[in-house]
Amino acid sequence: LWSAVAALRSSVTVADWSGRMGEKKYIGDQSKRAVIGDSNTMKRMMDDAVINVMLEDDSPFVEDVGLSNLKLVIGFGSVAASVVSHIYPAPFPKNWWVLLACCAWYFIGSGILQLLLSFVELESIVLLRYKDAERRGKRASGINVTSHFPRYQHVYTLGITPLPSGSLALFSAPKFKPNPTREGRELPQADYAQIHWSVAEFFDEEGVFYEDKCMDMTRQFLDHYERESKRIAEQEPKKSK
Amino acid sequence: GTMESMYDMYHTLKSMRKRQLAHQVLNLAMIVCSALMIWKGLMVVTESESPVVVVLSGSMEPAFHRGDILFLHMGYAPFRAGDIVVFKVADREIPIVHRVIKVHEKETGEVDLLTKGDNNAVDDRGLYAASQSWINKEHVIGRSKGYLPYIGMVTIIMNDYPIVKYVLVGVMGLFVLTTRE
Repeated sequence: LWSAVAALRSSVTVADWSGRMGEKKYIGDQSKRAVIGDSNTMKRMMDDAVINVMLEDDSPFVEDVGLSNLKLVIGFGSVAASVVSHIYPAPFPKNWWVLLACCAWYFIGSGILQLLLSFVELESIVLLRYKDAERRGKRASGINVTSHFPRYQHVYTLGITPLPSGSLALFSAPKFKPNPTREGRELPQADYAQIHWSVAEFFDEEGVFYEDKCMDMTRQFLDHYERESKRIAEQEPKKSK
Repeated sequence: GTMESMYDMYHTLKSMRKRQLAHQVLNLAMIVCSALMIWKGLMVVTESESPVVVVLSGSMEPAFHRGDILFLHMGYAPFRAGDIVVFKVADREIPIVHRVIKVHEKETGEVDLLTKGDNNAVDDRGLYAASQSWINKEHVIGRSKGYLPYIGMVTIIMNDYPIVKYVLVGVMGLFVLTTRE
């Protein structure tokens, strides 16, 4: 069975997909423009396009706001600590203990936020739950969408990893590993769970961003992911029996 | 030009989802609060109400000049003549940086101090409150522990021209809200 899965993976290449994109003509959105080489703005525009596709009305997903809410609560809690330390009515040095408590609360809170960012969230851009999560079982009731776009490179990698159920499942979920780049200007090996695009597909020489094209290619990638993961899931019961 | 970037920033903010905007606001708030909490943390560690001060006058030349930054701490060692202290007298908002020239330690544990600026002709009795001839520990904010020359001129400029403060903070705030690093 595993050799069948491996054969399936190696047969999916970027060429299968981009060939189909040739038919539709896209117009760039003149108001969305980035300076070529400004990796942060370019990544932000592409991430936003991907997120817009994932949160469309007819997408199979709803945003999972657990981790985002946790960060907001801890973050604004720390801000509250600093406000308290500033407005507490006792004069110095009588308020020394209050200041100590507020400083401890603030630095612990911001430390936790930093840990969350560095070890849990990593390159995730949005966490999603299937609208029909009950049908999907515990192991993959949602997905973690990640994007990898290092500075000064032209390859943007979009990845999907399954997200187990549970509000803070991201802690124990499998981590996303982008496939390594290859020599020259070739794109890395693709598989059903990640796809690599050269930013030249969405940005022209003036830096105009073709958001519609990016959104269409994201939808295609998502459909492909759905089909492949369903096919693999259907083959699993045979293995366990 | 500037008008284009202002328009871009407005557009960026308007097109964000509410949740994204909340995270960006949180980022900005955390930056401001980090600066505040580092200050409060210094207060806790040095036990001084104002752990860093800027010298405003030339009354301590040639030791300190206008614009120097002083690092303060309280400490538990007894005060001695020669110590450079920063103290506040009643009715005066701005603390004074001068040297202790006389120390009287009483049996009760109370200590009377007389101060004078190195560059002044007379001691500070004229600066103390009307019936006050000495200052005590409760008037002292801290003792000078270290210094950086001239860097405090930035604070003096921001105090003399408060608009500089508002412009700087406003511009930084806009940039943080619209970047995602």
